Amino acid sequence: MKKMKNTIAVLSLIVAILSCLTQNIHGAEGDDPAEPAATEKPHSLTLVKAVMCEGIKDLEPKNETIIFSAELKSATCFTAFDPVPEKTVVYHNWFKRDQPDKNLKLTLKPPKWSCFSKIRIRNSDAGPWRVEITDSDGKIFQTLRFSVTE
Amino acid sequence: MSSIRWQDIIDIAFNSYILFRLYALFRGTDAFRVLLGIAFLWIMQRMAVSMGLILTSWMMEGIIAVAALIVIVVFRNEIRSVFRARNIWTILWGLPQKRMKTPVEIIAESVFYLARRRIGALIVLPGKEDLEEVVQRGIPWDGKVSSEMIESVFWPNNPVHDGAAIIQGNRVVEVGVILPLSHRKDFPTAFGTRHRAAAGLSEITDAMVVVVSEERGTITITRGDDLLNINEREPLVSAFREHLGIRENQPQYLKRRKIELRIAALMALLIVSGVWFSISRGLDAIKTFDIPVEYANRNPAMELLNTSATSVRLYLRGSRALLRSIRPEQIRVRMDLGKAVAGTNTFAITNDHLSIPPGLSLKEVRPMVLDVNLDTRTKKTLPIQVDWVGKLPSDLNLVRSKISPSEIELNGPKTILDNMSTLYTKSIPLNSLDSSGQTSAKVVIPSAFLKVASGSKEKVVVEYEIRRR
Repeated sequence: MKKMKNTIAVLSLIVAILSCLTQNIHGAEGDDPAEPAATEKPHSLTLVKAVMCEGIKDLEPKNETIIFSAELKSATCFTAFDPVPEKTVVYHNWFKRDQPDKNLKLTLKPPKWSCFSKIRIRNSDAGPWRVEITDSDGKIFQTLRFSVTE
Repeated sequence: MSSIRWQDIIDIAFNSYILFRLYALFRGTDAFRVLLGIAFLWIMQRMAVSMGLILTSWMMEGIIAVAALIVIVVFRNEIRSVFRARNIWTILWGLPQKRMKTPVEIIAESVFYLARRRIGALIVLPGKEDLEEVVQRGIPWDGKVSSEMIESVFWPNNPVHDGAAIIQGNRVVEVGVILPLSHRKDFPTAFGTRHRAAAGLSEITDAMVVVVSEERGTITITRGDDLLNINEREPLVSAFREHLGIRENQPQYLKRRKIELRIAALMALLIVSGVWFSISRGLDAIKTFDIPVEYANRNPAMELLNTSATSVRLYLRGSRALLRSIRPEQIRVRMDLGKAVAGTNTFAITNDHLSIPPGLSLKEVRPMVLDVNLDTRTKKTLPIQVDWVGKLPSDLNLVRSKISPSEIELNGPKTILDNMSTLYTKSIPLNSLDSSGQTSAKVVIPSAFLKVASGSKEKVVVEYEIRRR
């Protein structure tokens, strides 16, 4: 029975990763299993981690940073939600100097979910950027600020 | 002629009257003759311009400009005496012949009496020039001219008998006056100080001075550079009359004078009308002026954000002479924003918005409409973000930064603030950073319409954390 539960858990994880990957559009990429649960979990969708990083490795953000050299060619926004009461979507809205650049829709599934979005950067993208993480109603969970440099 | 407005009639009448008054006040003075000369030069200069004589017209223009200044400086005494000696009513309306007549017979009789008694005397009969600056003031007298009065002034025991007496009209206005001495080298040695003083005054003014010699009992009159000995009463009276402009046949003289003034008034009217018509009814021309637009009566709660044009081009029609003399500062384009609302307001530019000198009319205006953007003022608090530039060494990673204060309150037009969500610092270079630390940076306020609200700071402190990779 225990073996069966483990098998189900692994399968769920694989399905979740695949689901998130298929939902990402135009430069947005995958998700990974959620963070460990807090002692007292809230009942609504809660953002527990949001960072800018150079990439994702082993389902975790790799090299958290707020400066992205154009040589890196990409910037990644990683978010983790816990709990995720029901299947829903969140948005990673990328802004370059107050001008909207990309709005990426990411699907979350209960009970907890991590996802990330990624954009390509070039020399011409140099300047201050921000990513607003919002729910489907436009409520901002958090704003991440970073700079792209040449 | 039908297009002449009532303002034009007032314009011509008013200037004609000024010209006539100038004639009436300055007639017979040297200044008036010089002014006539300048007027003649001006006519010559205009003729030279119309004939295309470039050098001549330039030269005459220069002479006129200098001459106008010289007239004011050289004839300042004459000009002052015209405006000082008479009250404002006389200047505006009175005629010169109303002046009090000088009793020349009485003066002549007194002078001969003094000469017979060998009593020295010095009597000044001023012309049109003011003597205030050239004589040393004596004692105000203001007594009506009579033989007894003149004889008593110069009576040897009188304390003021050594100075000169000034007679104006029928009054002895001042006695004991000290006159300037003549510095002539050819002055006759027989004459003493009293004669030298008489000559000194008449040389530099248009006054006539009568001298009675104490030693010889002779009578001498000085006028200009001339000294003339008088032995009989009649020539002295004639000299007085000639100097004071008194005619024997006074009624006939007054009649002639009246006719002369009427002719002068008519001439003034003709001259001014001629000038007016040449200026305002000359050949029609069109000239363009670029005039900045003024905005008035803006609601203080609103901000003028921008306008579709800062100036407008006016095509004005009028006589060439008038257009040539107009300066752009004399034209105004004024838009009333009293009824303007927040947002874009479109105004068509009409004659009501223009202030142009009389005699000109608006032919065209470009642009014909103006868009004026107004906005209400509001406050908004905005987060601040660091604008990092440059490149960190490849082995370093800037993982996070913290700004204090993290936000600023701005005051400004609503539409601008509504479109803003972040403020940025001035660029902070990364190249020089090698470890965690802090720096300060100024926040860039992106519009001149925006102001940092009181209590907020324009400078922030940035703490940053750098880690090795």
